[in-house]
Amino acid sequence: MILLNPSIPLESFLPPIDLAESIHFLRGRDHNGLNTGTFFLKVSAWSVHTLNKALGMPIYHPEIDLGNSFDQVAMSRVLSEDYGFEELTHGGEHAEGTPADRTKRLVNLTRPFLMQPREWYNTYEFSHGYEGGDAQKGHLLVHFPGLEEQRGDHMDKWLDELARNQPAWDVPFDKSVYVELIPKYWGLVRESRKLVQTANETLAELDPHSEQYVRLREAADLCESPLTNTSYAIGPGEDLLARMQQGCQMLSGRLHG
Amino acid sequence: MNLTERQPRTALLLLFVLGLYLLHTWHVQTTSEAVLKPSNSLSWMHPPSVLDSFQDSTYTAPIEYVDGQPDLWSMAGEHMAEDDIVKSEFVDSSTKPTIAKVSMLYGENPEPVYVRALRSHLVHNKRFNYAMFVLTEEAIGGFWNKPMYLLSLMIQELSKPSAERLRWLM
Repeated sequence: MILLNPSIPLESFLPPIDLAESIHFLRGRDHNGLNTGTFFLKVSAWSVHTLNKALGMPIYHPEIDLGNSFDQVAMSRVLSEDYGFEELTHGGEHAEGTPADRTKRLVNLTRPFLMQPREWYNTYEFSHGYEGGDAQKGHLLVHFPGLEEQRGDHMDKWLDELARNQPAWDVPFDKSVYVELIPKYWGLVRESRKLVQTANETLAELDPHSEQYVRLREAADLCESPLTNTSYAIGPGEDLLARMQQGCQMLSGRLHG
Repeated sequence: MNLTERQPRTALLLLFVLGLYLLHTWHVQTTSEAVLKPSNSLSWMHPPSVLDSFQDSTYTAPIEYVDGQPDLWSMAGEHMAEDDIVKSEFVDSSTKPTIAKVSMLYGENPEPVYVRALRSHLVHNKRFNYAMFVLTEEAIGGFWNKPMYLLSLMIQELSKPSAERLRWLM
């Protein structure tokens, strides 16, 4: 990938202080549920465990077809196994609101990883253009997935553009799209966590077979899934923040309505 | 079979093994020279500036390796140095980096476009004091190189005292 805007500190994507301890892995959410093109992994024993388990997958589970993006699928499977998700959906299948942890009584709030909008640091160059838009938006980089034999040409085009016009892409953080989106994201993470926590307290008191439980559980899963469920997919052009907002509103409605 | 009968055979076998070893050493030497020495030796004495290499898309940059890492800075030239002076107010070079970027670039003659792509990170790295690790040998093969390399870096960092560790890998 090619770095476009050297004024965006990577620290701005990392968890704020109140969430810093509990989060070890940040990555983009894609139409396949996950995207490991670029991600953040904390230097920690948790990360060693997770990488180890992913690397061991072809040895311990030779029967699992890891497709042609082994590391990506293996990492996702490890998270699913360790944190009780439903089976992964493959091939960009639209798994809208896949309810996670239905079998367990409460929504798991201890998952040490979070999904972020993929276009923040995996901003794609498609054959028809750059999804980051023009220079004023100040996106950090451009990534070249797929593209096959066209990739070299696209990369050349970008490198030439930077050689001619680098200062235009060097946008200060407070003038970039990130200045609004990043605080909004973390605000929604906090809101979602708080709501699901409240929902869990109610769920613990309810009979899991009651209609009230099922309705509240469904909303709580919908609120939590955009943040951590590896099989929750988001289509191209869809907005993760909007989904998070919808999830929060729905759960809030069922809690207080 | 007694010992006297076996000795000539053993000597022949030893000679054969020695021959194989010499052949292997010679092969390793010639191939590693091919990696380390670019065909145009002048380019070592006059490294073109990053600006030049960006403008000429056919430019094939030789890569210098320092401690097994491609020395991208050595190719940076004056353009980069000037840029640092103007914009490096965030950087306190005495502090250790807390974030490192992890990448891969291997093969004897990496595509110039990938070298230029890696180089596009240098100003960013310098400005915010990020480390950058580049895997330069295809250690396992295919898609497993990346998690494998991450794991090795992770353990390397965890074996340092806490205050000296990187905090995040990207």
